[in-house]
Amino acid sequence: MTDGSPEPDQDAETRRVASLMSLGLLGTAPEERFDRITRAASELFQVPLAAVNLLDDQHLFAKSPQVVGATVWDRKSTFCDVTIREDELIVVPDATADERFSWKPDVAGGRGVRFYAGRPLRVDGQPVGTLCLYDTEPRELNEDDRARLDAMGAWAERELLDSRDVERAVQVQHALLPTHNPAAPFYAVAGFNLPLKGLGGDFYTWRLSPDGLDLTLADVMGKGLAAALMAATIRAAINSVPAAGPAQRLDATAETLRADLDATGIFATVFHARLDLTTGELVYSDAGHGLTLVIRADGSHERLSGSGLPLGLEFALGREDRQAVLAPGDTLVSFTDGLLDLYGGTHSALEAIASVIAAHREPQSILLAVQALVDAAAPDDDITVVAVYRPPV
Amino acid sequence: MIFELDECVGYIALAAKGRLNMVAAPELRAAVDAAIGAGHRRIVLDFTHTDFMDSSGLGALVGCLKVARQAGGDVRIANVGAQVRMVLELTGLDRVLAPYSSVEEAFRDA
Repeated sequence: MTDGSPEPDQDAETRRVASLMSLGLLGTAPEERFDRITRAASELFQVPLAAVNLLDDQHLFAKSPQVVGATVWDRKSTFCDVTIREDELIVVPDATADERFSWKPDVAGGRGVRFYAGRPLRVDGQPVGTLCLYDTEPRELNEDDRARLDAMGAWAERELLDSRDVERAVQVQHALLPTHNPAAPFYAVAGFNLPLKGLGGDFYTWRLSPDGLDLTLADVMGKGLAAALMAATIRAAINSVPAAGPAQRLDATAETLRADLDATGIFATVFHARLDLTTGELVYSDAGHGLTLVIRADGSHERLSGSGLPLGLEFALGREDRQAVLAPGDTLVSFTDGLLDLYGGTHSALEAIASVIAAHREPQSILLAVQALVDAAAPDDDITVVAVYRPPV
Repeated sequence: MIFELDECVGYIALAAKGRLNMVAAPELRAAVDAAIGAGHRRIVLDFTHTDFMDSSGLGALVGCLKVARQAGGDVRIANVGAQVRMVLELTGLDRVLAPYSSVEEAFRDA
């Protein structure tokens, strides 16, 4: 680029890759909704392999089917590279007789591919991937077959767009989590939600009030979009009901949402507290959450035991305020059962978690420790943690 | 999730086998709804072979309890393992659904 400006086709490629990235699908795990398409295509066209592939500027990522160790390929070596560049249905009856393909490793080498058909998958008008067929025998694709492949491509495009809806919703959900620490520099306050993929029913929130720092951590029953919808509803109610103290706030939230919780059959466990920043006095109420620990400066710990049932599971048992004190050197940590289940989900799990917190203390350090755990264990549940650390004087 | 029915004198025992999670939760509800539909009022859920319950499972369990009580009956649980017991304790629901040490014990007082 001697004149310092990108070439026009580089601009087009940048736009194409931007559309691809907006789907948030690169490097993601197998999904039945795509596997269903490739299975159906393989059967319909009687080919050994049908695939949904996504192509960035340098790589081909096989979204479906996924073979361990063979999901990412150098783009230039693949058939689909041509489909993306030409942006139209490509049918190759015999790859050995087509100079665009005869040199490709899959033809000349191992897999012995002879037939290929690739239908570009477009998002925002950009070809971001392909639905393609491979065979080890030469063959043709008649007009009816081409129409069928086109229709299946439209199906795959709808699934790609669904991914973006979810991706945007995930961004919104994360934007609703607080990031600043309003109690600095006297307390370190932080929260995190791992493994940061998909929608979920966990949330946390905090804000400064004239009486101190109001902290909330909640876990809504279930997973995915349904749980996320109720999480947003509960968050809004907790933040807006008038209340003199934590127990009153939880009762008022339960009352406000009673019909909604009844109608959906969903419940939520909540830890809600008010921390007096001058004295460290903590007033809290627990709606069936039960997963809050105070790790003392000397390394000992105590659980802030529950005092009420989850929101949505009212059996005429009231909630009450309880007290604790966060002294200099202490850490308050509240977490969801995703973390508990990493350690087996029983009483010994609480001990194990307490010792991890005691070894790290500072919220940022706790985050790194839990991140390492999550990476090692690949849990199937979200893990949400809020930690408040009061440094020694 | 697999259920085994055992009709006893004064109650019916439902043995659930497998993880009580988002997949199994509706199945548990359906099994208990069917038992109530068939006229049973006292239902014991035998958790001997259920070593894991998540929040969806807990939701189903409470749903079963509500349906049974509305019908004038009750759901009780027996042979609960450590993880399930922990979920009940943490959520405070052990006060509503106290675990019994055996199926026979569950309705002894009734």
